[in-house]
Amino acid sequence: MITGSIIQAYLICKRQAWLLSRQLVGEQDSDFLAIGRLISQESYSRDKKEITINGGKVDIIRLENGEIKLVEVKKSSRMIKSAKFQLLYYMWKANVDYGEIRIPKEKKVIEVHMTDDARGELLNLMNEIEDIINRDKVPKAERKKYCKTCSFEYFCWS
Amino acid sequence: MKETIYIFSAGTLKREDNSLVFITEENQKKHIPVENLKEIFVFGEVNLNKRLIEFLSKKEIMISFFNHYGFYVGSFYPREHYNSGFMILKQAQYYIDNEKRIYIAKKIVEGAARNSLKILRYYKNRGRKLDNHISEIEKNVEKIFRIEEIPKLMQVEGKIKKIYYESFNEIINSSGFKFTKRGRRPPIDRINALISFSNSLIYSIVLREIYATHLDPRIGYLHSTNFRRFSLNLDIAEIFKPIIGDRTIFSVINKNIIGVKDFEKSLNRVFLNDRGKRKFIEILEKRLNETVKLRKIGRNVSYRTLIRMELYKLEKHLLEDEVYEPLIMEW
Ligand code: SF4
Repeated sequence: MITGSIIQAYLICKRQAWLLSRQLVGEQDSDFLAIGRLISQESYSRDKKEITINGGKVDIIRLENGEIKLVEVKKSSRMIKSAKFQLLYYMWKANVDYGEIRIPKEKKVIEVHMTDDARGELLNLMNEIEDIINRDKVPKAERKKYCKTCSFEYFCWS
Repeated sequence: MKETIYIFSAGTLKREDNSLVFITEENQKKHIPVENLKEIFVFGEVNLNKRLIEFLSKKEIMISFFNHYGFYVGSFYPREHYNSGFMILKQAQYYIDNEKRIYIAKKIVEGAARNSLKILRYYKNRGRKLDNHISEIEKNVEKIFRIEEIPKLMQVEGKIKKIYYESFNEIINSSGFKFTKRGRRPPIDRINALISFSNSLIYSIVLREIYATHLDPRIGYLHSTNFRRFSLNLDIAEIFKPIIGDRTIFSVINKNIIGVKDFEKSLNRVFLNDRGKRKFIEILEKRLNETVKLRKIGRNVSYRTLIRMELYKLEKHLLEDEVYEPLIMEW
């Protein structure tokens, strides 16, 4: 089953997506993850409501004049593309048309709209992901820049 | 870097709000920060209650108990936080299939033997008479590849261990330390006491690292599983006993850090007293935190991390990602 974190992972590394689909999560005491968790817990404490969609990451929902928007908090604009698809996926699941990625550290807000194009791209992506995670074997590790900050680093490169 | 704390004194360990405190018999209170705490090793007479256990479980802190002689008694293994049914199925599959199981078991025995050989060669180059021990072990290592049954493998492993331990008398140059033969229960001489204590510690350290992976500590490959006891930690410990434990034993004796006065004897049993245990742990901790450069990652990692990485290698073997080859010291 696809989840938000699998989508996000897939765009960075197919191997990671496969591992996550087997509940093989990386090391949680990695500093980066802890920072991410802290930011999403603290930065917007006033108007936030956390939700879980489909077992995915807990993000923020906010009601504004009757409308719902999904807000995802990121620690930096690195890997913004994967964050965008993760958010689109949540929006799709929750039937919401508007979302935002906020990067408090950089004082940035990025709008995400569920257009027909966006929906098409998302569905294509999900089909690709299904193909990968339904394989019996985990895709081989390939060293890339991202590995250094990945919670699977010690796993892949042991 | 996550830490281990060791409690030798008698007293009470309890939860106070969101932190841990230890209250000694003299009513002295010590605060223990939990943020970076990974595990607690208890040697002294310590009282604790369920509230504490719940807290430790929430904080994912493992607690292991050792008796007066330094023998491992048991651990509180917190509720699993990395759970993957997929991995456990794989782990069991490789246990049930004899061919698959024996491959891993053989690699563990081979890894342990090769690391022992590394140590012997190191001392040989420093003039110790170890030629015979080395060639005897090498002969037995050759036999490993042809074995197809666990009991046979255990026999060869036993032989290798016997020769290896006998070499300790050549390596250790201190009059108070003479190895007679390996006797576990009870340890019959000071070297045996050190080996037993060191092994106990390594078993618990490996167990804590297993906790950080998706593996189930109850399914081992060399050490038979009875699903009641932990056995995977015994397996992986084999690889690290020479690298971490035995090297610590040699250095504490040869550098006179631990001497005859650090042992006690009761009935037929020889064991480290508290001072000896503390000194040993201090040196062992240093070794665990020492780092070595890993080519694949391009940076230094500690021995403790190497233990976890060994478990990851096993996971990758079970996923048919990379065939398991044990860590052999190259430094
Ligand atoms: S360490 Fe590198 S190869 Fe492994 S999952 Fe992370 S990004 Fe992918």
